[in-house]
Amino acid sequence: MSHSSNIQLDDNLIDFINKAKQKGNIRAVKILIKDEKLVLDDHVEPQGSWKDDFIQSVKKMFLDKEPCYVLLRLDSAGNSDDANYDWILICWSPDDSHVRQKMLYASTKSILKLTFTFSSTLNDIFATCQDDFNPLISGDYFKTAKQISDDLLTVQEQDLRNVKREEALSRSVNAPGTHSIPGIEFPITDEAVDGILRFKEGSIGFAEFSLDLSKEMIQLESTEDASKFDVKTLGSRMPTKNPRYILFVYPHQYEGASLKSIIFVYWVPGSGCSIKEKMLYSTCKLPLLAAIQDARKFGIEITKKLEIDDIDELKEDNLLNELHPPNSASASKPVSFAKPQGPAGKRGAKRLIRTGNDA
Amino acid sequence: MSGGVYGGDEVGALVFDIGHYSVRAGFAGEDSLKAEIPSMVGYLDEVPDNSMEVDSQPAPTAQRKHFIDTTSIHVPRKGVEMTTFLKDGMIEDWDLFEKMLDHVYAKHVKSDPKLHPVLMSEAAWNVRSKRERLTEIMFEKYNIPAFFLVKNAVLSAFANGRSTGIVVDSGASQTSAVPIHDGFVLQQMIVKSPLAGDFITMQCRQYFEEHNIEIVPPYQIASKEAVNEGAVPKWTKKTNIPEVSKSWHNYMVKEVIQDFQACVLQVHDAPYDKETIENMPTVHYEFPNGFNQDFGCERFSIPEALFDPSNIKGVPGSVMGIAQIVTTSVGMCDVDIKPALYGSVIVTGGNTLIQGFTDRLNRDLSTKTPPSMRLKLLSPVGTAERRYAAWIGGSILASLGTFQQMWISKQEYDEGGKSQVERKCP
Repeated sequence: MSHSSNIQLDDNLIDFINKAKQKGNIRAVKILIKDEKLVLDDHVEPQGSWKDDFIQSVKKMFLDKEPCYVLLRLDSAGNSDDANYDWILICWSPDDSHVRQKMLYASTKSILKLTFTFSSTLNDIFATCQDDFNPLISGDYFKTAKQISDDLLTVQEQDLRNVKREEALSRSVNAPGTHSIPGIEFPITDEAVDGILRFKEGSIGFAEFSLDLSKEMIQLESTEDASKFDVKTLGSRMPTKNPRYILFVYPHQYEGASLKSIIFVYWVPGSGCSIKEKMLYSTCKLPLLAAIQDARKFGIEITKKLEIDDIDELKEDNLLNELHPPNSASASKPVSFAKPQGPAGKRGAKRLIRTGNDA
Repeated sequence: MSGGVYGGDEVGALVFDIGHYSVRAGFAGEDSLKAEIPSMVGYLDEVPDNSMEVDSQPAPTAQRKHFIDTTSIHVPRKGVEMTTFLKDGMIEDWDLFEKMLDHVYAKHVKSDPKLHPVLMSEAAWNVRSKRERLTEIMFEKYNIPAFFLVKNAVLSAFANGRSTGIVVDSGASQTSAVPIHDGFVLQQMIVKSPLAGDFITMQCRQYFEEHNIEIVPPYQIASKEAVNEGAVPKWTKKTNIPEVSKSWHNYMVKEVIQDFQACVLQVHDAPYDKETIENMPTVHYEFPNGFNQDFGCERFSIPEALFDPSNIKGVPGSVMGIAQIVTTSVGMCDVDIKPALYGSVIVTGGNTLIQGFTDRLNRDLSTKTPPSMRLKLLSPVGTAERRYAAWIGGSILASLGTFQQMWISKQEYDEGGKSQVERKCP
């Protein structure tokens, strides 16, 4: 705690501010120190936007030679809850006011700030003359400190910031997201580039990419015209022993709206493909995705990215599920989880020998 | 509850503000202080006359006699040395400090210490051990009912109506920049420099020596005659002066120079430039011994050192000018509060009363701060308010009824010991 006068709030004032906070029907509250108590002096109700109100009525609260506090309600809300408006504490302390007044108001500010908890931190403005409100009215006040203080930084601070900025930049180029292994960036063949571009134009609705392991390139495997492509055929298109990247448009109806979702699938069969393939496909995925999404390259907006290792998951209803997950909250029944099946028999005999099925 | 008897404004609390130049004391709630006592104290080791008789007990019997307060220290006495109880803004010699308090209680407050709570100011960089020791002395020796310790920079800021700002305090021994945020002193960002009142006195003295101007303090002068400007002074020396010590004489000389400082010196509003300054009006000054002269250039060149220490002799190169102290201190603070600090630069301390001080500081700071920054210097207009800002702040604070809960009461001290001061007075 800092040094303070320990002047406390009047009960009326506490009630008043709490109500104002909940209902949001007060624009500004003027608070004075009288008889060593913080008391409510005046308040203003909202008429228009906070700026208009401020210029129209709130400014009149600030008198010459008389310090005061004013709690001002803004129109922005700290979070989605309607009643939680942002507030600003204005400390008005004209330089020509009496030293005792200045002392009291300066040493009591921390108490006022501590007593009320607002939705976000209560910002304060210190003003000694009407001109001090200009940054508030012009909106400069709301600029973040970063914006205004560029030239305030010392040389060391500037260097430090530049280093941080560069680090962030270089990180974002190599590895989107927060991956510890930057992806391997295989070049994309001209064919594949052409394929992606045509996909973007909408002339093809399905594109399949594979890795040429010997040449270390991403190549276009097959395409399908948008008109001919059907999601139901998806499962049969996938090779069972090799991973693939596929990009397709999925036109469908959902809650009455017809949507065209662009889906990226990284297909990696659960078994049958070599470790080298798995390794290369998984590391190439991120750079490829980044390239497809990057506005400077292809700029395709992908609705859903999936990683699938089972043909069944490529069925249409599963895709729908992925795109529009059933809202568990909307289902009125509480979700109950099925109990796992108990072991067959009592405990069963010890199984030391594998049966042939699970190879 | 020991604080219970003190309700409303009738607290009767005492407020002490301790500086290198003087100790300020008075009652809380009053507009002006009761006493301003020079921080320099005279002492005399009186060796008892019969001390020679036993060889085995030489020193302990020596009685130290103290001379405190303006009247007392100005009497020339044989062998009286001058000293102070402060060092770097903090109390160093506790015995001497107690003597000072004894004197204040006896001669100025004229009341029993146990009736009055005490609010004391301290340097922003005061250390824990000294704060605890002070608390201990106040409760144990003076038996005061309640105690509070506040940083003087916070009081100055509050008295100027600011709870966030940077306090530039240029006093006798040093100039400091203390950033304060919402009533908290940002301890790590304090910047200090020895370029202050005493330094200027030293520079003046050096100047006088170089120009063969002898400073004769008034105590030596029996009579003098008016002489023409620059002429050799005609004065007669008192004959009955006892053999005074060098430190006492120096103190007397210092007082003369301090008067010269206040009357003659001026800070030029732009960096020192010999040609413009030669066109500035001169100021006439007459020394106690009748020597008088017009001062031109030197009026400006001496205090210039406060702002631009690069060309003074005998000062290491690392010393910072006042504007630089401020920018260094603000520079160390978080970016978010820098605008608020530059928006409230509070100027206080006796040395800032040199003519043109604030104008120059304003100018220097505005060249060192980004143009987008709103710079505002605050300095109380009145001499008293500038010199006693901390005391006035303390007086108002201590007079509040609501403040009574903040005090460390005697009871709390008895229960919690001296470490209470760290808990209650941050």
